[in-house]
Amino acid sequence: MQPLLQLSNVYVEYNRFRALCGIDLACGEKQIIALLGPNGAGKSTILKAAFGLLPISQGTVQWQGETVKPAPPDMVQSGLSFTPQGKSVFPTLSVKENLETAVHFIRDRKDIQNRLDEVVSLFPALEGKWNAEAGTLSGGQQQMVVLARGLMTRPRLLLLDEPSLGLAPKLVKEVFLKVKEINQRLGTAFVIVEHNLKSLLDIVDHAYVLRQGKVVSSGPPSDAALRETIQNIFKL
Amino acid sequence: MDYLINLSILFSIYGILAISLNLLIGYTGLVSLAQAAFYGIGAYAAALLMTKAHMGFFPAMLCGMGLSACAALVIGMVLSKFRGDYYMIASAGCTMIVYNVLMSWREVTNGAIGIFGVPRPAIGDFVFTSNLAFLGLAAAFLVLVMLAAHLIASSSFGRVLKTIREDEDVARIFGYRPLHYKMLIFVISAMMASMAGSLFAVYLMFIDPSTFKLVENVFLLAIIILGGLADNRGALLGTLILIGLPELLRFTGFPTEIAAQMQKVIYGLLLIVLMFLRPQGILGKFRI
Repeated sequence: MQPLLQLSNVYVEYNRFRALCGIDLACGEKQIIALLGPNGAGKSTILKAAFGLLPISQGTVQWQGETVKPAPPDMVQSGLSFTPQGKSVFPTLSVKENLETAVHFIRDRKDIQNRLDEVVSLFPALEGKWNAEAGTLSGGQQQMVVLARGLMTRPRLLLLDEPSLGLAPKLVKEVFLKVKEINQRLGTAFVIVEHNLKSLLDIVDHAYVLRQGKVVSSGPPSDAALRETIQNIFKL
Repeated sequence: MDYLINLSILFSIYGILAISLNLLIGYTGLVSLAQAAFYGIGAYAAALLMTKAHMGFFPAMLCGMGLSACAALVIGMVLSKFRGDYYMIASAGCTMIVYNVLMSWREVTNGAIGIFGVPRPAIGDFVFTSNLAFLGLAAAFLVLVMLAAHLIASSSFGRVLKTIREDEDVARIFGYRPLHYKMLIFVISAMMASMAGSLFAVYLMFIDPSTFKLVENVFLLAIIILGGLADNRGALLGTLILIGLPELLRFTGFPTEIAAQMQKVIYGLLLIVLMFLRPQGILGKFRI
């Protein structure tokens, strides 16, 4: 079956420094993929390159079976969303405004309302906070706003960059469970960049381990070779 | 009574300037010190076109706004290369350039001597000679600008401006092109400032470059920070306080020289106290 997103032999350079060296990666329909690796391995760079926030110097990106030159406006409208590192809410905007910013290209108010209702059914905790400034919410709630905002465009694939950053372990688990729930209810695929391994491996279908811009191991979380690489890198 | 009318005219003109700057700084987070440049372009365009080309006030004002819009497109493109403090410094440079052009291009602007005899506006046979009539005109423009600013702030365009202010990179992730929005609001704001400049020129019937110095931007910045960023009523409240306050000092009985110095001390003190107690300003929703 044709993968939803496929990177083939992708190279990215920052000021002559090679951040990615020939990355091959694929994410299928409704899959959850994890990108693991130490700091500076190029995990976030992969997401940014696939979304068009960083230029690719070599290689191809295929999205929904077609080779594309990624650029954020096109990618968003064609069903790919990206949520950046940390709790990236717009702090002085209300929760509702935060969510609405994601769907600026939709003019139909009814359609927007339907999407808001859909998102509330996934995040009931946000319902009472509709008009609260997003910056006043707790860390976990802000992360939920970020996730909800990413879903407003009804993406087929959501790229999540370190959703656990700055969250307590209990909340991290909650975020990952929510990801799994969204995946099962809406069929949204995810590519998640993370440091926090244990709870993430419970929910993913496939993991890639990166080091110095290269994939050093990949496979399903149960794969013995993958587990060994992870153990070696993170000294678990 | 005439004194109060004069004050109200100044309030209307500075109100327009404050609202225009608030759209940039308060709503979009672009701390620009280039507003005096557009204020100057508007004033000189009206004064020159009315005295030399004998154009009517309204077409002259529109020409000034067009010229300011063109200048804003160029300046805005240059400024878009900068962020934060660098943006502020570069924008200050723009005001200095315009001020120096007004000073040095003597054949056209008459240099430091300025332009005398700018006529008052007229509609048909009616000339806005009396200050009361002129106040009506200035207030009408203020109301127009307030309405426009309110529409911008409450529209989806205004929401995008706020997202750019909060986090431009995240805004880009959602497919926004921040440069387009920043350019558009910069041009709109410049046209409003230009309108205020044209009104100022025909109100005083005389202009010289000293009004359009960098320090004028600082005064405008003080107005909107005091009144409150990202709130149009805040911009007007700040204008009311900072235009009204020095006038109150007139009645304290101090000699004029001392009162003039006290005015600056009080501005400074007000801003310091505010930074401690309420950094977002009296009615503000955002802090720099």
